[in-house]
Amino acid sequence: MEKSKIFFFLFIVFTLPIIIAARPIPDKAKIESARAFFKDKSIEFVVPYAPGGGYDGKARLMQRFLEKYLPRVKVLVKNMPGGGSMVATNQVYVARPNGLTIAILSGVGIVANQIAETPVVKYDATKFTYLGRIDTEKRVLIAGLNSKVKDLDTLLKPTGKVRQALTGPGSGSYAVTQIVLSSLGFPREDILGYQSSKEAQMAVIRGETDIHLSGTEGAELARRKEVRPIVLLTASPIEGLEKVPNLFSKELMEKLKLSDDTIKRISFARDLMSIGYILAAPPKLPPERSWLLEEAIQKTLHDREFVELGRKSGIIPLVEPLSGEEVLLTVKRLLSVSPEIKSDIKKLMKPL
Amino acid sequence: MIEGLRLIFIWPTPLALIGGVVIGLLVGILPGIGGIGTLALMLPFVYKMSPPLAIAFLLGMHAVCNTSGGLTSVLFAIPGESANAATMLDGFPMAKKGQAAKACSIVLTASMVGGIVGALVLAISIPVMRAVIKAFGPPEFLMMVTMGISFVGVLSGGKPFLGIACGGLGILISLIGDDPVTGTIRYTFGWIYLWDGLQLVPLTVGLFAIGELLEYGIERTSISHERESRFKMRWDQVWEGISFVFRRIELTIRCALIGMFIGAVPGIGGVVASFVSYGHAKQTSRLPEEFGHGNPEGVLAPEAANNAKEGGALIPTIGFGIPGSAAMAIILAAFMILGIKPGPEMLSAQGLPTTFAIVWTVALANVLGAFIALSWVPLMARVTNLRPGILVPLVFVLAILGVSSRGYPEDILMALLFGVVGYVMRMMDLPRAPVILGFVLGRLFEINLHLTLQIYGPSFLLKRPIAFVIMLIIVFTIFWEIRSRLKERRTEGEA
Amino acid sequence: MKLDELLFEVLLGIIIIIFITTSFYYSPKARLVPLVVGFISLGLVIIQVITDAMTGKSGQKGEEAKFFQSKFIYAVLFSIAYGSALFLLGYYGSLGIFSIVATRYWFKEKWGTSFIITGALLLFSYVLFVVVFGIELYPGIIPAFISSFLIEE
Repeated sequence: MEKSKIFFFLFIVFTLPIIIAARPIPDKAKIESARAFFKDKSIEFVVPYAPGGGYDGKARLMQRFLEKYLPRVKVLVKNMPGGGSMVATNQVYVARPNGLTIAILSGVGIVANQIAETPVVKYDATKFTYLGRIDTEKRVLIAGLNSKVKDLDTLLKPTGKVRQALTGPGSGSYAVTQIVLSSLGFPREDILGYQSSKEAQMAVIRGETDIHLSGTEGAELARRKEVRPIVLLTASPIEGLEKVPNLFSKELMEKLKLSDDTIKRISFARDLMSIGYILAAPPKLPPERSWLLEEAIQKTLHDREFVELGRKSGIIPLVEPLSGEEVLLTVKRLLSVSPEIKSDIKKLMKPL
Repeated sequence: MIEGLRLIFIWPTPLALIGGVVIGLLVGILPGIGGIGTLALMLPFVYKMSPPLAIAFLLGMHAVCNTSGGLTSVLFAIPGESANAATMLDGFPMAKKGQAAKACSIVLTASMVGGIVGALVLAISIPVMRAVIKAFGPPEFLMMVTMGISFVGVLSGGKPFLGIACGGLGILISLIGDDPVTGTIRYTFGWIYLWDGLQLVPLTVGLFAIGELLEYGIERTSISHERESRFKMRWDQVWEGISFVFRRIELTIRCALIGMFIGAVPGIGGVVASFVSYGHAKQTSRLPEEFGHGNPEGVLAPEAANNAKEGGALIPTIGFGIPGSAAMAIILAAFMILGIKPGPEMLSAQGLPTTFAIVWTVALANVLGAFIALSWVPLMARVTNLRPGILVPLVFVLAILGVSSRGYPEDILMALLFGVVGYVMRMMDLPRAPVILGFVLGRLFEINLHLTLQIYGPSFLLKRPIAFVIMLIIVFTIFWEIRSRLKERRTEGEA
Repeated sequence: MKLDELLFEVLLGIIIIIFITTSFYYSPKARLVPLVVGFISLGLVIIQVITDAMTGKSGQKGEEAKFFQSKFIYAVLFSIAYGSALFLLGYYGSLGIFSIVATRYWFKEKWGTSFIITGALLLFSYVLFVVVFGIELYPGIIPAFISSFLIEE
C-alpha cells in the first residue's frame, strides 16, 4: 500500500475515539431514555436522488451498518428525488425533529443554493442538525487520450479553445467548478447538455470534447488508462493518482503564481467541496438523540468492513469522517462568503 | 466460451440463477416496482456471494424483468415496465377478444427469443464493442431519436395529422422541467413537483391502464368480451402463441436486432426500442390496419425488442464500465465489489470466461424465465374473464401501486388526469401511442440536437457518415409510409 | 362524435398555444425546439380541424351523444373524487372507501364480497410495499394530523 494510504487508514482508526470523546456527552439518563425511544422504531434515511446513483449507493451501504450499531432499530432508505435535491432538503428541514428522519445531503448543493438565494430554498443551512460527513467531494479533470490537452501546461496554454463537457447548468456543482476553471483563465468552450457525468465522460473518451471535470468515476477511468488525468481538485489523496498535480494544494497554487483573487476563489471551492456528502437531521433535534445517531454514524464510518466495501465498490473510495459540529462550523463559515464570490455564484446558478 | 458456460453450472450457481429468475419474473409483473429498486435492495446480499453466483443472481433477475412485464400489459393494460408499453397496443385488444392466453405466450416466447438474440449479438460484438461505442456520438443519437419520432406517423392510425400533433404534444410535455442545456426550468408554473418533469410511469399507466379501466368500469363489463366457461384453461392458445413466434421468426429476429441496437445507446431506453420495433412490424406487415386491434405481430415485435435491449445495454457497461441504464449502474457497482473490472480487461484472455458467463447467464435466464412463466399463463389468462366487481378494484389497485413507487401522491394525480384524457381518446378512437413516443423521445431529441450543433455545427451530416446513413433510412421510411397511405386511399376510393 | 372530436382538437390546440406563448419567456436556446415543435403541431391541428369541419359529417345526435357525455362526466367526477379522497384520507383510506362503495353499489356485489376484496387488496398493498420494499404509501392529511397527536415525541 502507498504510504499516504497507510497514513490515512491509521488516521481514521485513531480519530474515532477522539471524535466520540470530543463531543459533549449529554446526561447519561437522557441517553438511556433516548435509546429506549429508538427501540423497535424505524428511521427514515432520506436520499435526495433516485435509486442507483452515488448518494443512494452510499446510503444503502451505510444502512445495514447503522442497524448494526443501533440495535433493534430499523433503517429504511427513502428516495425523494426532485428539484435537484431541493425537494428532499426542504422536506427534511420541516420534518418532525424526533430523530426518526435523517438524510444524506450534498454539502455543495445546500450551501451554494443558499448563497445564491435560489427561490426554491426553504431552509437555513445553519439550522440543520448535522450528524457528520461521509466523504468529501473530489474532482478529477480528465482529458481524452487524443486531445490537445496532455498535461497541466497544455491545459493552461492550449493551442486552441479547450472544449469542456458540462452537466447540470445552474446547479451548485456547476457553479463551484466553473468558478475554479474560470479563475485559471485558459480559453474555454463550454458544451452543455450532457445529462450525467457518465455521458460527459464518454464524450471525452470519444474525443468530441477535450476535458471534463468529473467525480471519482473519472479517477477510475484514468486508472484504467481510458483517459488522461490532468489535474485534481481534492483535499485528500485519490488512489492511483498520487502523482497528478492537485490544484487545491498550496504548493501548486504557489508554483503557478496565481493571483490572490484566484487563490481566494480556489480556496472557497476547496472548502465548499470539503463539506462533501453529509448526514443531517431536522433542526432542533434533542441533543441526546442526535448524540446517539451521531455515535452510530461515526462507528459505521470507522467500521473496517464498511470502509473496505466502500473502497472496493468505488461507492466510497475513501471514508473521511467529520463530526456534525465541524460540519456546522464549515457551513457557517462558507455562508459568510465575500460579496464578489457571492455574486459570481448567483450568476452561475441562473439559467443560461 | 465453454469455460464461461462451465462457470455457470458449478453448483450452487444454477440455484442462484433460478432464484434470480423467479424474483425477476415476480418483480417484472408488479407494475412500477422497477427492477432498479429491487436490484438496489438485493445489492447488500451480493456482498457475500462469489462472482459467478452474484452474476447468475443479479443478471438472472434483471434479464427477465421485461419478460413478465409484458404479461400485465396484455391482461390489464398496465405495463410492468415502461418498456412494455407498446405491448399493450395490440396485447390488450387480444385479451378483449378472448385471446389473452395466446397473447401471453407470444409475450413470453418472443421475449425469450429476443433475449437469446441479444445475448448472441453481445457475444459476437465483443471484439468490436469498444470501437462501435466510440463511433456513436450525439449526431448519431440525434438521428436515431429522429428515426424514432418519424414512427409517430406510422402509429397514428386513421388520423395522421392529429396523430402527429399528438406526438408533438408528447414532445412538448417531455420538455417540462429543467433543461440540461441551459438550466432553465420550463413550463412548471412554479410547481416544484414538475421540476424533474413528468414521469413516464404515471403517463403510461394513466393514458392506457386507467383509460381502459374507466371504460370497462363505467360499462361494467369484464375485459374479455368472449363468453367462456369459468375453468377452461386455454392450453391450445398457449401453443398457438409459441408456434406463432417461431413461424414469424424473421420478424422476431429483426425486432430483436432493432432492440439490441437501440439498447446499446445510452440514454435511449427500452420504450423507444419497443415502439420503433412495433412501428417497423406494422410497416412490414401484410395487415397493417389490424394493428391496434389485436394483431399478434404487434405483441411479438415490442417484446422481442425489449428483451434484446438488455443485451445491448450490457455492451457499454462491459466495454467501458459506463452503464447503459440505471439498472446497469447498480449491476456495475456489484461487479466492482466482486472485483470484476469492466473495460479492456473483460475482453482480454483472463476476463473472457467471466464475460461469457455473463452472456450465457442472460441467454439461459431468458429461456428459464419463459418456461417457468408459460406454465402459469392459462391460469393468469383467466383473469380477463373475471367479473368487473372483482376485476376493477384489482386493476385499480395495481395501477395505483404501479404509480406509487416514488412515494409521491402527485404521481397518482397525474395518472388520474391522464386516465381521463386516455379514456376520452379511447372513446374517440384517437391514437395514444404517439403521445408516449413523443414524450419519451422529446427530451433526447432536444439534448442531442443542441449537443450536435455545439460540437459539429449545422453541417454535421457531412461530417458524420453514420448519422448520414441513418438520415437516409428516415427519409426512406417516411417516403414509404406516405406511399402506402396514398395507395390505401386510392384503393379505398376505387372500391 | 363529431362535435366531441372537434372539442378535443380545439382543446389540444389551446394547450399547444399555451406552450408556445410560455416559450417566449425563455432564452433563444431554450425555446428553439418547443417553438418549432409547437408551431408544426399547431399547424397540423388547424389543418385537421378545417378538414373535419369541411367534410361536415353531422355531429352525433341525441341518445349517443348524451350517453358519451354522461360517461365522460362519470370519469371526471370519479377522478376528482378519488384524488381528493387520496389527499385527505391517504392511500388506505381512499382505496378502502372507494373499493367498498364501488363494488357494493356500482357493481352490485354482496357486502361480504366487497369487504373480502377490499381487505385482500389493502393487505396485499401493505405487505408488498411497506414490508417487502419499505416504501411508505401516502398517509393523507387527516390521518397524519391525527397520528401527530398519538405518536410520542
